[in-house]
Amino acid sequence: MPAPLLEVRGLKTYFTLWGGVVKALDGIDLTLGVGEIMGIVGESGGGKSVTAFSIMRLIDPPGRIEAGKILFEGEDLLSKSEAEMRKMRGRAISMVFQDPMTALNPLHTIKDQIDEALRLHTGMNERERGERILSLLHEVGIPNPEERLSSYPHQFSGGMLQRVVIAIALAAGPRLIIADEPTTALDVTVQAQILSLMEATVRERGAALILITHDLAVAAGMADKIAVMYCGRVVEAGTADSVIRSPAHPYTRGLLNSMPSAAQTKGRLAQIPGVVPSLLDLPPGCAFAPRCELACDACGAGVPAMVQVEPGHEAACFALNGGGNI
Amino acid sequence: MTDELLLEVRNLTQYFERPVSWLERVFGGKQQKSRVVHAVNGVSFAVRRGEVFGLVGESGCGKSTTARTVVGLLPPKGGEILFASKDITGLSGAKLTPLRRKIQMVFQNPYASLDPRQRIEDILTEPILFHESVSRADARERAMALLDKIGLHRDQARRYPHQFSGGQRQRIAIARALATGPELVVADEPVSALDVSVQAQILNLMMDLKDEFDLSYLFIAHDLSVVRHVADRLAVMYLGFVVESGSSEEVFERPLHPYTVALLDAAPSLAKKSKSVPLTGDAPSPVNLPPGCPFASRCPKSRPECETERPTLREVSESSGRLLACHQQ
Repeated sequence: MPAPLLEVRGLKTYFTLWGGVVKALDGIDLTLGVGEIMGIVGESGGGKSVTAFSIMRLIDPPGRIEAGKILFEGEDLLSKSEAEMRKMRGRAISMVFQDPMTALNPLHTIKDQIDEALRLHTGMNERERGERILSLLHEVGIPNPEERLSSYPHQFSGGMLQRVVIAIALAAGPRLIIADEPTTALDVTVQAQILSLMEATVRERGAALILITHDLAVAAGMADKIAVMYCGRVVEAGTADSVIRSPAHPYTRGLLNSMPSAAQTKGRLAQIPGVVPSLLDLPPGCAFAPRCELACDACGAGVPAMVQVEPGHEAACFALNGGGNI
Repeated sequence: MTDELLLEVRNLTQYFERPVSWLERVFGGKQQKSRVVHAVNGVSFAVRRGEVFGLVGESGCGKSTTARTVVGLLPPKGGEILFASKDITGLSGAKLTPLRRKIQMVFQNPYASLDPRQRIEDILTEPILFHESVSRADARERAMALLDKIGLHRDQARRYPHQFSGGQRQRIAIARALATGPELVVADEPVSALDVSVQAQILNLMMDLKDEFDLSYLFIAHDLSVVRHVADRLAVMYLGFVVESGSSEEVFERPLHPYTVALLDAAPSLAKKSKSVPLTGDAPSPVNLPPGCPFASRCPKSRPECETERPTLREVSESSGRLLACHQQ
């Protein structure tokens, strides 16, 4: 098996606040192969975005990466200096954010903003950069790129701006792109455009993609692997098909069941009782136990470890430790 | 559900004028005319008593403006609004007050729609005291009963909105809407700010309350799977026009308008890993409405007449009450 592109091991990111320590990430493991698309799903507060920012080493105080390893192409990003990290960001790993309106600088033209990425990360001269900008804009589907070069962000629609952001993310030819809710701010028909664009460009270039989304259906549509997060932990991970078809963790099952679907049009939706607990006041043991119908004494006593459900699919639940069905 | 029409909207028109700013007057050469945003362009639909009527479309299609005009937050610029067969178009002030009791609204963002400086009990008793001459104690008792209905504890009544989660706040917003005993609740994207698991809780609660209080809902959402789940009938809007309407089962099973087809195709779903070609481009600007079909510029089936002639909403089959605005059918 070839070495994975990204390996996250036991990553802990804590935020120290007046009210206590928020364990936004409490020991997560992720593995991503070259050219793979991984969906990280879960509800707000699960730690999806903190995972993205931790990998990019963009955690600001009061947050701190307390422990763990982030191996990117075999090198631990956590042992790199800030100067070395700055060379990685945008070049080896780039990011696409949720809201394209705020991700771009309103005072610079589209051309300047794409050019910045090329100037910093490639050795191209001005003419080569100019050509590259045009081909990038063309690739992300901006009509008449020549005419849009000197436009400012406010002159674009949300969907078009997200295309520009993707062009910037692709500019230096990164091996990994992290997209944090890239289509949440967009309409459904535009979301479909952006998702198929991202999938096509990533697959074409052989880059890997971490797609962070609250929408399981979005992840199911394009990811190879899915990791489900709840309260700072990965509770289930595996190939997209097996996680969606045979979810093992009660939280994943709850999420899937609470989505209104075509199959079950009327009647009551299955709901997960209760609410996501505050990260300042997590229950002992498994954080999902208070909302879980399968919870038993063991769940309140300790944190369940990931166990294999089937090859390439694992979940962290005491109910699985028997090794069979629940 | 009966056939009695609770709310009837006929040919509703709403637009917003943006005046020329002094900067443009001084410096702007070409933008000397005020710009008119045509938000709602002759929209007609009816909500029957006891049903959930869904209004679907993407941002900027005029669904929220329609809702705000129906509840009287915006005076309509044209058309008629009938509530229980009474014309309520453009009522204001004292004439509108008794109607506000009967038509209540639930907003999208429960973080913004509750007064942060009011306790929950005050949020719930205020509408009762405003609309009815009851004692404060009686109003308070009714507010407490509402808390039971929405699944909050009575001892939480003295808390402030910030002490509740998003889902709980939306429960409170729903309770406030129910406090005056409405017949119609206009819910504008009531679950889109919530997480999936909480979304299911709120949808279930809304359906339970509908049965218990004999409510009808005008339910506005961009999420098709949510609308499919709750709505009996629905209308699909695009650029301020209704392009298709009918029973939600039929529209979802057999969408007729190319826009509805595209919208359904674009919605991510767990079941299909479809790779259908998504729509290209964006919706045209509501400032310069296209002369023909509003969807012509993005329609895969567009023909020359679509660019010039605006299709009218007409019945496609008498039995089902299915309406469509498209030259193709």
